[in-house]
Amino acid sequence: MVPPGAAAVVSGAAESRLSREHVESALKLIRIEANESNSMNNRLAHTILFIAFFAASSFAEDIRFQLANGGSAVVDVAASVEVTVLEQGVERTYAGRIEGLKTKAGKPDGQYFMLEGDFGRKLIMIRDVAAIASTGSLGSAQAKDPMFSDRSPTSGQAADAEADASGKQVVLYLPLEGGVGQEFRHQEIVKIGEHADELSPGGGAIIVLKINSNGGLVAESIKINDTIREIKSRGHRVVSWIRKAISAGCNTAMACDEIVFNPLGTAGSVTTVRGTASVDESQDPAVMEHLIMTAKESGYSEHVARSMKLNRYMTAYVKDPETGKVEWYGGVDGNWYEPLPEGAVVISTKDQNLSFNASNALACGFSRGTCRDLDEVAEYLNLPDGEWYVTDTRGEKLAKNWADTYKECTSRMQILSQRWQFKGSAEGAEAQLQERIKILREFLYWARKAPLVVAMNGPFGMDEEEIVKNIQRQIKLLEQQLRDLRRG
Amino acid sequence: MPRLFITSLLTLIAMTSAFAEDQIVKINGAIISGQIISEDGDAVVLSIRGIELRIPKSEIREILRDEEDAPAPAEASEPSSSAPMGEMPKTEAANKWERRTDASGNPVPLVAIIPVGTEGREQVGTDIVPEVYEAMIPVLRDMQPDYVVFRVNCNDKRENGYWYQVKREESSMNDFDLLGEIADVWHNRFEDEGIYAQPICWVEDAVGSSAVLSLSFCDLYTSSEATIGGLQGAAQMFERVRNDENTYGKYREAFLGMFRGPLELGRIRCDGAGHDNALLDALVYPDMRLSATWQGRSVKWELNRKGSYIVDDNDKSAVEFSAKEAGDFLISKGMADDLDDLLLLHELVDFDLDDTSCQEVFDDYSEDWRKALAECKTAIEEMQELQAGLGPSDAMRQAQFRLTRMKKILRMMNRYSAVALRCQMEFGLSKLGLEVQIEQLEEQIRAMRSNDRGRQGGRGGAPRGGGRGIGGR
Repeated sequence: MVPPGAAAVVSGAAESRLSREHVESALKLIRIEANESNSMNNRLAHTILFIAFFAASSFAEDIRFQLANGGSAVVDVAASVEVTVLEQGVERTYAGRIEGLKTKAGKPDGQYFMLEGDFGRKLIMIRDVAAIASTGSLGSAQAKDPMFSDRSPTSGQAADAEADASGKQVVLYLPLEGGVGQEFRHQEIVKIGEHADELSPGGGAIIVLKINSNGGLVAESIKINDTIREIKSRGHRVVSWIRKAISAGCNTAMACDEIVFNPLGTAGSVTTVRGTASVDESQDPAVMEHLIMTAKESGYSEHVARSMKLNRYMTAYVKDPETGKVEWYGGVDGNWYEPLPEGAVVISTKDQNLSFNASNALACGFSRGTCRDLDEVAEYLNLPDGEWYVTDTRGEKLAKNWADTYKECTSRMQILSQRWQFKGSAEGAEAQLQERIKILREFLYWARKAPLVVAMNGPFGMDEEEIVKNIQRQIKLLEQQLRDLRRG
Repeated sequence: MPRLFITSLLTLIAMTSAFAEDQIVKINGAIISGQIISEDGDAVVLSIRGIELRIPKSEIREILRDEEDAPAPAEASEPSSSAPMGEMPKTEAANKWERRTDASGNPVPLVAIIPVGTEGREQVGTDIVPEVYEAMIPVLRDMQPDYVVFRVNCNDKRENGYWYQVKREESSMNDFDLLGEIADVWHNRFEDEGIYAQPICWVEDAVGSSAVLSLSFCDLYTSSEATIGGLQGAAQMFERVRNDENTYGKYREAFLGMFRGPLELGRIRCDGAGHDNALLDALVYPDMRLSATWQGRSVKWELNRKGSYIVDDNDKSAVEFSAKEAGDFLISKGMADDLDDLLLLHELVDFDLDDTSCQEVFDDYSEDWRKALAECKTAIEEMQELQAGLGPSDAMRQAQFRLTRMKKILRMMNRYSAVALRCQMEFGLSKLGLEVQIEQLEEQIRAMRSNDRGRQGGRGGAPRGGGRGIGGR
């Protein structure tokens, strides 16, 4: 996958003394080795094989992108650029400024940069860059964005930001398992994002989210997507590793920069259901619009999103066997918007909801790799020596803490609800009132600690603030009754 | 109470001593590693990755305890037969599976049989669970076989009709994640744990969820009477939402996506060879057509009538394959009615066979949990009889009678996940519900005692509350 022993990529102003000839010879070496690697991994075949820097001046740096087809492009790192990116086999062009350039010596497959433009900030994998060209100058770029000097220092500094004190790429891992809005919440994602900021202040951390969920609440799913979007905008790379991403779980996965699958993985079936009735876009356009927005932001076809939501939308694709480029086709109610060319692969018919498995997701570019364990995720990410590590175990701890709390809370909710019926009753009215007050106090504790769980599993309504007030009112009422009883 | 304390303490020690490994050397030479959590005059209970195996002492040659953490026997009536540490085991284990060499001096291949069900113990989800196969890992690691034959004998249709129609509690579980977890142990965990044997699947019957597991193998053979299929019960799960096409479509595809996982994993493990998702889809859903087109040594499956041979044109029932059909459509690589024939088909003429070591792990587990379930059923019947007027007439004794049985059921449910599952399926009992019922009953008993004391002391008041509990009406 990665050219073994590839020459070190030279980056940043610190290396500005290096001669162009020196870098060129390094490029040549990498090119040869990278070409050898193509037979091992055709993922690289149509993408950039490496990146190298060399200083053109003390303030601006040129970056040479060498393409597998032999072509190359040199751009000024500080200037505005126009980048054509291969996303799911589809070429899309973005204009903006390069920020947070991340490189690893000898690891071209995992390099990326952030592109800041009118569309916001976007993480671009260098291997996905089909074309790139400078379009402006440093001065104009800085003038447009007062944050530029703060958030995007020289690429050399940005590259440094990705590493922790030991010099290793910052990697965090957050397993998200269970019902969205229950075991699987935005709060843990917010915390892991903040932790990534601490470890890698300029962005550049890699956050791997293991997703194993049958779905859950739409409202929570929207909060999760907003959270992931914010983390991405701070320059971190968010990768979802899918074991099971059904419904809201898939929505989360699609909000990430990249998706990789476990071989047993499945993702899709994002139909919104209330009770047992599906919600059509005519009833609530927002649910369809939100998924389409998420899909577009992450570079997926709108047709994929529609087919995951409602049966009647159809999706097909054609993949160019030479370039790997994917063209998407859509339709509705049995009619394709345009005729399907020969060789088109229909992945969702008019009677079918779209759900991917590892093989068809990889074939059409919905997923970028299939990794059976974290070592294979490490290989995909091009971590040093292809070995999995985490910078620290904060993510796993966050997940475990909440999973334990959730489990305890749901269990206590059931026990308390049943105890309400009998506890203390055998010992008289006063004892029963005391027991009920005790039960309500515990409900109150959980309502503060895990409000959504109490809302979903308790008898106090759905509004989190109202639940607390409701319980407090009931405690006061019972305390009054107890006082009255004691007064006789 | 002291006994309970000691047992709890031993369990705690076993749980916290993550690296402690005790070994039981059985009379047949098999060595089972794990943590000894209790021992009495008749048997030793070993915990292997959460599964408790009760091994009769009559089958044990030697017990080798981890020196640092060896717990004292809880109820040992006689000194343990433990041998001093390090005196034998690994050597003897190695000797048991010592390799012969053939005339050319090449080692003779060793073949291990891994049972996937036997008649009467064939329920995917209770008998066939990831934990059982995880418990085989220490044995297989010591054995280091060259081939493992997964012998599949699960039939959800042994009586007239499928289990899901005639005896639901015996039908294989369509747990969304279970099949993937089992396939993960077979295809990934074994290798991760240093077991590099080549897997072969031999289907005597794979009717029900076991068909999905069988199709995760590319080297699949059948016996001449085998059937592969019986998955349409799985499709019944979503009938209740059939009237909403989008909800039905969502559940159906999500479910299929999870069902396809083992086949996807199998294809990756077989470098692309293996079984097509379309074949599985047609095995599950009656409304899916299936046609086949032979392409050299493979078959292209299509969920329509466009292939060169229409396999299933019926929308009333899902497709099933007899052994012959499985061979014709290249689902299986051949038919064999005994192991010699099977291994000959795999070009193995001279081999050594271990068909007992993994079978014992399987049998121990399935016998134990089924015995525990039978005890639970007896306890429930006794409570039903009590409700009908049989048994003690005194209220206090009745409550204690019920309490003893409820606690016994809870103990069994905690010990065996299979028992918990079956009690839920058959009697609607959950562990949590039972815990609360026990608490309620204990409170009633306390109140009755308190009232008795009160009456003796001149105070009155009848106990109130209480629930009908299990076994009630």
